[in-house]
Amino acid sequence: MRTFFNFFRDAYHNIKRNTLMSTASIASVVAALIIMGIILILAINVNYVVKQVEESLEMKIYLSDNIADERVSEIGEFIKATPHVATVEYLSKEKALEEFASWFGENEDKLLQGYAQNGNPLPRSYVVKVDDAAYLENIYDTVMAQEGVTDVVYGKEYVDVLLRFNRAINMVSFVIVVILSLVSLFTIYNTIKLTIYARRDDVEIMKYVGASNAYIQMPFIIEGSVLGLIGAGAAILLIRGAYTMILGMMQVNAALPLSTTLAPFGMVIYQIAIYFLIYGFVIGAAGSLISVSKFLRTSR
Amino acid sequence: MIKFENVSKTYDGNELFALKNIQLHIEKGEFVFLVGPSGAGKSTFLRLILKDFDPSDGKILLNEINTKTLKKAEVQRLRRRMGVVFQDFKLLEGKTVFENVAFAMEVLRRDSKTIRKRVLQVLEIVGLDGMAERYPVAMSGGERQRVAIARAIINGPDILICDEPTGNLDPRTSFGIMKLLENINKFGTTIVMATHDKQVVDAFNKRVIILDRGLVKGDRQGGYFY
Ligand SMILES: Nc1ncnc2c1ncn2[C@@H]1O[C@H](COP(=O)(O)OP(=O)(O)O)[C@@H](O)[C@H]1O
Ligand SMILES: [Mg+2]
Repeated sequence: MRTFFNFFRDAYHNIKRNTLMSTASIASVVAALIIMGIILILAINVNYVVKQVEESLEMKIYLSDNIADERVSEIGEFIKATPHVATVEYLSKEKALEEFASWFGENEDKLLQGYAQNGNPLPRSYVVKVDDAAYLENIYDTVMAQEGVTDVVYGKEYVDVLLRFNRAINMVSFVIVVILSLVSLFTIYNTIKLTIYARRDDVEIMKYVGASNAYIQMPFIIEGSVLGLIGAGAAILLIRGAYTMILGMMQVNAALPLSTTLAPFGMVIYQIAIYFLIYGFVIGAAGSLISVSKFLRTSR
Repeated sequence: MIKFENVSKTYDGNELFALKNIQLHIEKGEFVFLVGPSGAGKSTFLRLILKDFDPSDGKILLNEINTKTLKKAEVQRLRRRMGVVFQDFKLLEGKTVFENVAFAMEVLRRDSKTIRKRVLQVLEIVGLDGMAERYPVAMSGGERQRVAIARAIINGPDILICDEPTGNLDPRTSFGIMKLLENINKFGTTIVMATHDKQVVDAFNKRVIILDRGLVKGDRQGGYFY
């Protein structure tokens, strides 16, 4: 217990002694986390919008007038059994006409009368919603191949753009996060390298009195983790301040549609805080572990 | 206890032999001087015993165990049975004498009561009683070396390795340190000490192994420097 306390005391002294590099380490973690926080919040909101759009996407499957009612329900069963189909709704000729007519407002009755005399030209159809827009094309192919299906319609170009946009955002965020993590890792790695260099006699003595590698590594790993955690703490405070400001501005412009898609303040901060602390800890511990392991390997 | 069987050592990027075909045996309880000019291979010899690295050729046997076959945990256990003293003391400047010595026991996770008792005992043995709370900066070279020796013997080692322990000390102080080492040896610890201090070697009647450019040029009981 005493030795564990000593580890923290030593870490504190080292961070103080090594002000420049320690500050650089903390700053790199803060910078990485703030950019990551912005990306995270953006990504959460983009994903949210995409999900909403996906949910409202409809696919219309038009049926031939020349098939029997049994075939119509067969096709309905087939569509229901297709993977990623969420809901299926049948639209009869009469219903289709009503819907169509409703677009014409005051002329509705006249239109309905006209069609009632000349025969209803609108086909029967199924209206399908999917749980994932990425599968629309597959569903299109399988359903189109069914006998009795004359046409399948969905906003293909729109969906493609949306999917590509979503994929691009995720890809770019991922790359930026990886790059920033490497930068933080490298900065902490170098800070701990300096610490080890300053304390190489301690390490050598520990080695010669037969200390285990874990024991030798512990103080450096604690120091690295503390640096990472301090960086995470600072980033959380900064992000919290910024988010409060943005929310404040949104209340002024209450009409902004975006505000409805923003997750509640408490939840976002709580989640980000946990992610950040874990991230800071892992980056700090990993950076110093790599550093001290390398030192032990090359000095033995 | 320590056996070199046809041991050679070369370093990476250096085609010269630091040691070549060394064949010798050091018995339990011996006090051995390892002498020779700078670059003769003395430190290499000691670092092989400490298993800082393995020989390029041949075998080192400690109590009949080939050190090359030892696993990491076994190396750590081996080192707990050895003490090391260097020319430059290698004390932790930010720590008191007490903490410097206690350090070697904390590493082995002994409880603090045992540590306290044992550290004060050992400080008395090396002639530093009452100096536990001093800092190394406020001490003379001889006193610092005594702290280093206290740290090296606190876990009761079988072997004490000393690399030029008097190299930074004046003759009078060196003599005091040698007396201390001699006493430690009398209590059963095997000592292997590298030095190029003629006065010290001549004044203490011990086995002398002469190294020169990696070769053993002499090995005599009660010998002189040359
Ligand atoms: N780490 C090293 N890398 C390359 N050569 C080394 C290294 N350490 C020692 N040597 C060489 O090995 C030889 C023996 O060195 P050393 O054992 O330190 O001698 P001594 O302790 O007697 O002065 C010297 O020629 C030295 O230059
Ligand atoms: Mg040497």
